[in-house]
Amino acid sequence: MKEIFLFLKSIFSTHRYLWITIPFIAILVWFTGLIYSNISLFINLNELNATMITAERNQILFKLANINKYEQTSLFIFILPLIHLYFIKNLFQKDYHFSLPIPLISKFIGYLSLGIFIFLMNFMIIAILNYGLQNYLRHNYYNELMAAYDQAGYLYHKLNDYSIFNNGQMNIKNLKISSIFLLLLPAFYVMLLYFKKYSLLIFGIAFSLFIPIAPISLNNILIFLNFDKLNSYRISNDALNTNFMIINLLLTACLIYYSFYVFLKEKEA
Amino acid sequence: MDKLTSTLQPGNIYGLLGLNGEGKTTFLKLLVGMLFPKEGEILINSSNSKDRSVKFLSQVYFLSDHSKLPAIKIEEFGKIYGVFYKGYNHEQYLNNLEVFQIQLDQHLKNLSLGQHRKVHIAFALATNTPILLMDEPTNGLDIPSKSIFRKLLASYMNDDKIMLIATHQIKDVDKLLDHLLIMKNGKFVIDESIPTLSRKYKISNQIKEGIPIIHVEEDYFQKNYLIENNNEEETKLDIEFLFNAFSQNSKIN
Repeated sequence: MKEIFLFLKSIFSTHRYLWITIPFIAILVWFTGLIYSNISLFINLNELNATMITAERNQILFKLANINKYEQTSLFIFILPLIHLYFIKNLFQKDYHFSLPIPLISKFIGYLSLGIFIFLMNFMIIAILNYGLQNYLRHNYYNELMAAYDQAGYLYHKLNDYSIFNNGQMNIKNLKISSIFLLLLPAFYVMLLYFKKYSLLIFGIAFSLFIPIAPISLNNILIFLNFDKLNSYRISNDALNTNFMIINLLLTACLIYYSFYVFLKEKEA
Repeated sequence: MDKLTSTLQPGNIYGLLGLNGEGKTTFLKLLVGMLFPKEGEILINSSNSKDRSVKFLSQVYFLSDHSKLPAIKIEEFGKIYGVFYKGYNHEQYLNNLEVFQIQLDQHLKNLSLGQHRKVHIAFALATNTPILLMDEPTNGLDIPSKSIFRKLLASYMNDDKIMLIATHQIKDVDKLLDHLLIMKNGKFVIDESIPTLSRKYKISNQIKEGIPIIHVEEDYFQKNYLIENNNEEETKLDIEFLFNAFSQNSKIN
């Protein structure tokens, strides 16, 4: 445990910029993404500031309430940590780091912990921004919006779940799917270890190919191994389908983690 | 490299020489476990390099031919990486830096390449690993620093340590060497101690007729010959001359 801590300390001490780049890039990408994907939000807010006529304001508020939540943040929580990790790959080549006398398992856990830490930090910042957007809209426009619904005859109106006024709910969705990162992380490290150049690009291509192919191929493997009693094509039982998916995921996870361990062990500098 | 076999004994400073591309750096990387041999094995006190075990890695430090250290403070570098080596002595690290006239409060990113080299050498020596592998250690060092480097190296040497220096700048370290390894065509054409070599060969500018000449070089003033030393007495050897003889002579493979 002490060795893992010291190993992580050596990485963070020599990559102090991470403390700045993780929040900076998260904030930059979040705002840029918001401008590109939800430009109507800014147009509506601008229009709201430009008019004091109630009827016009009500119409703009209705449009505002119909803007979807910031769904793209689900991508940011996966992609941004991988970009940060891409820039620590030089550690695999530095002789003073490569030949450190610590057990392989400590290095393995150390690298995984580093990835998880970067993921969590990035996730927290995205989550704060998502809640921040929701709070800003609710604080400034929620009461006026509800009044506008009243005036339009929509009594007891409730905001739709998809509305940007409920943008904080994106964090719950992101949290639910965040376990996928635990699959991505070792696979990404394998790519970093295997390909010195273009590893990020190759990982992107490999992963986009893996998504459609993996379920089919894993199904076939399990059928071949006589797991066909759990085959989702033949049995329409939700519990069994869930079990099947869990087995699928666990098998995949084991394979990816083992691959990373072996690559770390066998990697030459 | 092919069927490269040697046993390095503690208490010796080895010089590893070879022309460009002969595989000196590869050999050092194999020794430290950064590369794996396709056949055969490298053992340090029965620990195999392929295992990269803590036992193996804690016995060897590799000073590569380029010292681009991370952008942190000089003293911090020692503290962060020194903890992994049980023999590391921070006082020695600081002392080595002082000898090299490196100011401790400086940041590594503000140092020149030569100063990075000095910091790395200071750290490598302070790890006190039984085996220290150095690839072109004097690269980037100014002339006074080369002398300091030699003095430091001599002060750290003891009967339990092995130092292996791969270099083209043989004049920088020739006085320190106890043993010479010359690589040619993936093999050691010389794997002998300096005293043994000086008993086997001698350099002369005059030869008697009939004496077989191993190598001849002509400088501005005279011809110099490498010949066998028949009287078994130690003679003064010029390692650079010896290296030229064994690396350039096509009869020696």
